[in-house]
Amino acid sequence: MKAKLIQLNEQQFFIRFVPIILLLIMGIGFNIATGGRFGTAANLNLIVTQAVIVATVATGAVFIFGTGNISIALGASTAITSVIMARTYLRTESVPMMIVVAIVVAVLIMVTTALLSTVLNVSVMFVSIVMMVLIQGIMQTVLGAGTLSLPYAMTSALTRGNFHFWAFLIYFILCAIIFHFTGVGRSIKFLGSNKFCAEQSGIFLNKYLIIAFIISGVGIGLAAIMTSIRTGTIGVSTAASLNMDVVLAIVLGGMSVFGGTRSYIYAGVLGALTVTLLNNGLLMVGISPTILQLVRGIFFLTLIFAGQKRPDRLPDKEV
Amino acid sequence: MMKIKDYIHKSALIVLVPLVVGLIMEVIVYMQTGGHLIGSMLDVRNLVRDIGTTAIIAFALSLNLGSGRFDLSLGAQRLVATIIGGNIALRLGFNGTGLLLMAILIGLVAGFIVGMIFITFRVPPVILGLGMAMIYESIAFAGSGGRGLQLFGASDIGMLVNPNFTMMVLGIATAFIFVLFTFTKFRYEMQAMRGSQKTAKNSGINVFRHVVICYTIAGGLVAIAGVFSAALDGALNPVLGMSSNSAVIAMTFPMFIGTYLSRRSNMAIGIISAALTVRLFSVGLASLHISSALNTTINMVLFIGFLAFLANRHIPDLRKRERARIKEAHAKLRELSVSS
Repeated sequence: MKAKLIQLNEQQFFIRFVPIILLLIMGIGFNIATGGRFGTAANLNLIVTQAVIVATVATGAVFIFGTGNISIALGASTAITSVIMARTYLRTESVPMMIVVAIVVAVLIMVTTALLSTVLNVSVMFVSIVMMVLIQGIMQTVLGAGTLSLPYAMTSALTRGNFHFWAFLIYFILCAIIFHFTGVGRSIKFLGSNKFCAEQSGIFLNKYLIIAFIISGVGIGLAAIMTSIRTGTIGVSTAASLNMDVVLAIVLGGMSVFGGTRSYIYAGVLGALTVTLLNNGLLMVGISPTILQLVRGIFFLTLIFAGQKRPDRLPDKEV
Repeated sequence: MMKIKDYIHKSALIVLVPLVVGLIMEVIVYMQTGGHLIGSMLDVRNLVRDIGTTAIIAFALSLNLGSGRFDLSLGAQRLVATIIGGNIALRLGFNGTGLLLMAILIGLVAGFIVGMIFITFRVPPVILGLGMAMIYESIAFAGSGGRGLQLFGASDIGMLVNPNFTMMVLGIATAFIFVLFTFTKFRYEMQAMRGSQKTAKNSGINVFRHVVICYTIAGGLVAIAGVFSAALDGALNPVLGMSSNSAVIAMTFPMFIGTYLSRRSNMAIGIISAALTVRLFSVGLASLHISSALNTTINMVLFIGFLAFLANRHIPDLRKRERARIKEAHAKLRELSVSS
């Protein structure tokens, strides 16, 4: 029985379809539990709108996870990018400038993280921890208890123009092409599967880590714009839960936390929808936000336990 | 005689590092403000408490981080142990010592659970830490009805803010870590696992048991730090959304310095020295009226610099050896050309 379950868990169709089936079961379950309120067009639209931000960051993060590394500074990087792009807009009142600045700043932050890791030989995990605390410190120094507000006319115009969806769609298609149809994606997956073997074949982690962080940086820049135009204000608590949501999304989307060949670009999107649907559904059912976190934690660990291949030994990677 | 001389020479760094940092900060503070780094007995008391909290969390971190496992749930374990343990102790009418022991007990259980789940799931520690932090933060929040641990007006817990009591507890914790890392089998297991988990397992070490012990002790230690923080502030409020981590992550810097210094002495002594160094530096920055956020920023910049130093400190030696090897090869070539 156990052997059969393990065999099933190793099959590609199982890995790919379980997250989709899970999403459908959750959707149907919440719809029944809320007497149909969950499945209304307005609520589903809200879920999709909320999920787009997580999905954008998670899509980029798949490249980092694919190499077998984890960054826990994604939320903090999004927040500081939001601050800089908001200040740029308030000074220039130019939307194109704001978008360019957001993407450039986010890419620079992510490249800095990657370079600190590759040039200084410090593990990605430690660098991301330092970056997270460092960015939070900078945010508190710059903003203090105050907030930055963007003009309603600009944010509502971008929202009406469906900036979220177009930006996400273009980014997702580009990422899907790079990850699944180019040598970059193949190399990243190879490094995640077996770093030693990949480096023996001339595929070096440092190079692909920088590429992964650059691609992820573009997603963070776009997510910073989406977050800012959605809320209109940026403070020290901006994107506070984003990092956790992204990690949750990637795991719930069916991707291996060890990276490698079990990495799929759609995992971030599928997981983002699952996370948002779970949050929304549990709140509609009447579960308090405190218990919601408990349920999310148990759900997260259960899915990891069920979906990940259990190594014979303890994990001995840096994470 | 030689051994004593060597020991003194090796241990000098342990004393020198905090001394030099303290002196530099004293000079800067005096030049900028005209005051002193430590101006009153209150400053001494605060320094003792801060060192106690810093060192105990750094001890906890070193147990797992020393073998490459970063437990991101340590902050949440600190919360759940202090809040749940503290509230149970208050309800049972325990005094300060009872409260501390109850928190340690809950902390040990919390750490043990994380350790058991880790060896069962075998997922990366960071991923497990994220999941367990979510669960423990919720338990601390929901278990106290969102109130956390409120020590204002609680009777018989005054000893928790007494610096002598803090010193005594820190002394016991230091002695425990000292013995653990110096005279026990645990030390050898730790060093073997640091080198290679596979080799450690092949040499007969029960790596799974060792990991659970590390997680369990770490849980108990962070509970001590949580109780002292709660006693000093009068309360410990629960948080959600992984915010519990900041108190622990901030201690990774002294932990790494401590580990580096421990090469010259012992893990316990190294971490105490590092905690004193980092605290003196922070007190100096605070005396210069630098905000806590900027203080954190400066600390993190130094931290990344220190990590880079740790990761690359062998490079000058490698270059030196390489230069010597090239020089030797050139000399041989010259020798060969002369003889031919």
